[in-house]
Amino acid sequence: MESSVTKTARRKSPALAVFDFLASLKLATVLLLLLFVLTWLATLEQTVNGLRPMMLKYFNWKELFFFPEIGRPFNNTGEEQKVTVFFPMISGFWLCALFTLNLTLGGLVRIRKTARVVPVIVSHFSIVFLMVAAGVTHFMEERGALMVYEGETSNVAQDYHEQVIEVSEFANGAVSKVHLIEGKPLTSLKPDETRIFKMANLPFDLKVSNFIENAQPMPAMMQPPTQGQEVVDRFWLRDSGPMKETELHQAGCFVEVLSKEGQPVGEKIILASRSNYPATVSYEGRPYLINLRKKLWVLPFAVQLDEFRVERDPGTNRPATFESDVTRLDGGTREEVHIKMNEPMRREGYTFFQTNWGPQDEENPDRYYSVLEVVKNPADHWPLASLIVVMAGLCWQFGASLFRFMSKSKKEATS
Amino acid sequence: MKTSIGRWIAFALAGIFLLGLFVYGVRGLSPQKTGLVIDEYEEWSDEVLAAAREIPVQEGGRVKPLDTQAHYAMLKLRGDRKIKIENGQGEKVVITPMALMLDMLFRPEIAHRLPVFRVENSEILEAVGLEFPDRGKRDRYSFDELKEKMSAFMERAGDFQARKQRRETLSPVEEQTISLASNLRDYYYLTHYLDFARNKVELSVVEGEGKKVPMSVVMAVKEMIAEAIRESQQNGEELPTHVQDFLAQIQQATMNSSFGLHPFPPYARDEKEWSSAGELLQGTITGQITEVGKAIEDVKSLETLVAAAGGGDFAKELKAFGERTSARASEGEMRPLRWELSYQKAGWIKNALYCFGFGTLAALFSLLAPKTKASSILRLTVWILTSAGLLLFFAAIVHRYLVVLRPPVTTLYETIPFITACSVAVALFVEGITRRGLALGVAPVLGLGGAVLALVFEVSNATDSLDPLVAVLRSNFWLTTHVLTITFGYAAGLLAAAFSAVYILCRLLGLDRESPDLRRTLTRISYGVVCFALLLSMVGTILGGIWANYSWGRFWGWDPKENGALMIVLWTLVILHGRFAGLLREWGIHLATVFLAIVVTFSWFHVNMLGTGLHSYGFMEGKNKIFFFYGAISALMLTGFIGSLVLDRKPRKKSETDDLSPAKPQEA
Repeated sequence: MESSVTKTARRKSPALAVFDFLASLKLATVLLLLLFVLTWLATLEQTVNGLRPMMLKYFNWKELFFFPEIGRPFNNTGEEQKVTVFFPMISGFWLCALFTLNLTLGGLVRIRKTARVVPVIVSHFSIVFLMVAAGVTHFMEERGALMVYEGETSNVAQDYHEQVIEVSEFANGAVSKVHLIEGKPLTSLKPDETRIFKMANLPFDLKVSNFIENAQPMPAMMQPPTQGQEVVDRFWLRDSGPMKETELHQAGCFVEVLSKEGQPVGEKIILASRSNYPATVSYEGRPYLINLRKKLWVLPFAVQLDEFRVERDPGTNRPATFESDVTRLDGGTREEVHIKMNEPMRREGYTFFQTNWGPQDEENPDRYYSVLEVVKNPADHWPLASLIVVMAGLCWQFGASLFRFMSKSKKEATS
Repeated sequence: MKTSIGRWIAFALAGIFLLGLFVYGVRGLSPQKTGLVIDEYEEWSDEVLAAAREIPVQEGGRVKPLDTQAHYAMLKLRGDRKIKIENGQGEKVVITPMALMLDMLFRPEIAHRLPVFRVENSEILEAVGLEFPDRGKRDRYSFDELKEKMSAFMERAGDFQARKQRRETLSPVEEQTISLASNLRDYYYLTHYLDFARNKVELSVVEGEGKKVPMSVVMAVKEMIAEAIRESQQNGEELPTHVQDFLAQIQQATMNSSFGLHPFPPYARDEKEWSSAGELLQGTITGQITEVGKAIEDVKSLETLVAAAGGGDFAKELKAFGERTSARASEGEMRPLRWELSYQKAGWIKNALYCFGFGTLAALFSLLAPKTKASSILRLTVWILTSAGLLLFFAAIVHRYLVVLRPPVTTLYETIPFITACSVAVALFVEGITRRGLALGVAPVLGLGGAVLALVFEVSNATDSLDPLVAVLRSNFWLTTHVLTITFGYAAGLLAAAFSAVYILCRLLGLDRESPDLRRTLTRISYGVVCFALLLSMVGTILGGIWANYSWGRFWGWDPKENGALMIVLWTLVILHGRFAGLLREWGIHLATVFLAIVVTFSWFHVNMLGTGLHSYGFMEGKNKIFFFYGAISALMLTGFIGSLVLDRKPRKKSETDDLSPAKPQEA
């Protein structure tokens, strides 16, 4: 009998062996352990490198592993000291993908389908669903901030991170069309790298150099370059280095306008997100504006801020509640909506959350502005569905176990 | 090892644990010895203190008893609740927060000599040229010792604050300098608050001649004064020096008494903001207050208090002052205040500490004489005392709810009583099912640990945990569902770890030999509680994600607190799946479950300490204690691991194997 089992095992096809491995409980345990370590390191690393840099590093699908950095423990002085952990941690992206695969194969496909295991299957299913929701959010979520003053209307949200180059065309004294160089090709530029961007719908191309993600333009006359940096239009770009809160980054770069034949036209231009004004160039007698800024995305409807209110706790400057009365303008339709903390506006796949306001340094300003965080996430409500299912599954499973435990204990006590 | 020896060792270990807890509590709660002698220090009478305690004031966004403000003011300034000195008669005097508040307000010249300021690091003083060779690196100082360099502190703190606003990371010493400057400023405003009543205003008809008049009189004749000044200005004449001095006195008095204390309810019913004496002064003089008569009466009532403090029936005047302002406050403000006063009076946590303490002792002695009549009596005693302690904890939680009418777990402090109560309740429930005395022994120890932690944390945190919440937390539904579930999960995790710790100790000390199924029972209990912890932590974590999604649009933000909760979920899942996969057997389950205590502590406390640039000494002190805790748990795990290798090196008989561990790895 034993030998026949061994032979059967030996005869297992490679595909089945791979399936067995991917669906195994042992792999599940190891993956859960690795996810535990990943979460722990992610918690420690964000204190020294910031949240977004940590996330980009830990969930980078292009790399299989990385070396974590954490703050030094047992540090009596409290000074922040970065320590590299020489342990090749598997990328969170691949870990989550493998975990979802393991859970699907082992916890849904291969698991014995008996009545007692039904709640376990239900719980596993809800977690797979949650992981899928996380994946959808990771790849498809859009997030930005819409800032609007009382009495004004806006239909654009500004991205928190992505910095782009905008080239605006003019017609009849107003901006008629905007052309974009997206953020990814810009941020992939190394400091000493130059890249030519072919602008398909413009009569010229742009050559971008010296792109710095967090740059401060410095007046060369007052503060000369410290390391021989290039001076353009009497300014040079100081690299301010990465910040923990990357949404505060303000990029800078140099741009040259090139003819379609690749010949430079005019002087090199300095662009900086910190600057409030775009650069103006003229090509073949037509004016263009070139601007480096956080990306704006246009919403399918506009929001008008009718009134903003903030109520503070008595005797303090701490806001007890802040809320916006807005009118949603969608073509000819008008809809009045009240937005406050914990009560967002959800319309057409977009959710508007009350997130900030200003000016905050004045007690009774003439006019408030409200900042609404705008999020578009197809998996918006999926976690709630997952919660309901997992709660049902776990309560069923552990409730039954508790009942069995109590019955057994009672029997033992009686005997 | 003989079972009886094992029992004695267990007794000794438990004794050491209790002693450690006692030392931790005493060190955390006892005031630093000062050796200070103030000959003329006279203690405030009990009547005075009682009357002062009940005076309503507005602070931190809510109306509270003056006692609460005094309590947290002292904790913030000095880091503890008492100052021990000696008076001229050689008597020991204990200065309580309320007494210190009265000293600061009514006897500032004495308060200036008291060691009120805790300085975290002497480098802060050395940086401004102050050196005290007789003091330690962290010590306490009086205002008289620091006042000479007060402006230097303020200047440095201003620079650091500006850097902080530019989002630069400050060193701990720089952060502590800001904190000390803030304390000096708060102290200054409290000790100068009643200067206007003490010094009065020097009113001169002509230059050189003058007499001192109360501020309330000045307020009453403010129209005449304003008219005189207007006339003078209309005639194009410069204001005489004595008039300028007079105005400067008013301005100074207004400034000094504008902050620190807000004891006057608004005159209009629909207003919520209470006033300080300085605000009444300013409002009257600038004409912003229409009910001048009432404002004058209010200022006059403070002048009366100052006069009485100097030699009158101070207790009676304080009581009258409190009654007067209370009568004007709204019922919505006074209801919580009355509940708060009764909450302070009840001392629930302190009483629970005694119950759990004696319960622990009874449990400890019952260990020495098992299966005897004395042991039965002791077990009954443990039941009674632990249940009483639990009821007191629940009473504290409900009482706090009645003060603020919001879910009972909203601050880190409030999690301590809640987690303690939940873990004790579950332990008693488990004991009710199993009736083995195991959970009964664990319950009072957990209760005692929680009570000590609650009392010590309140002192080290020095923040009023009843103050209003930030805007985003003001959602009773989410606070109730998410926070209660997740903190209940913490309680279950800690309880499971406690049972596993008992298992390891029982095995190491050979206490399991007399009772063959003890190990199996402990494993089943511990594993069952791990499952319960998983259920609560997972549901709580997802609920938190949903709250975040519905409040600010993201389900998961990798926030340290969220990560901590996820770590508990993942670790409990490791235990569950490890067991089913055959990777963890009896010892493995218990060693992994003991580690759950570290995971829960990291999630519950440690993640709150990870914020960069927020370190203060108390903060670091807590952090170091957490490392001690981690060390102790790791030591237990290591000992258990070695024990498992030694004790289980021979193949066990089939009957001894754990029925929870599958014979072979199962598939999912």
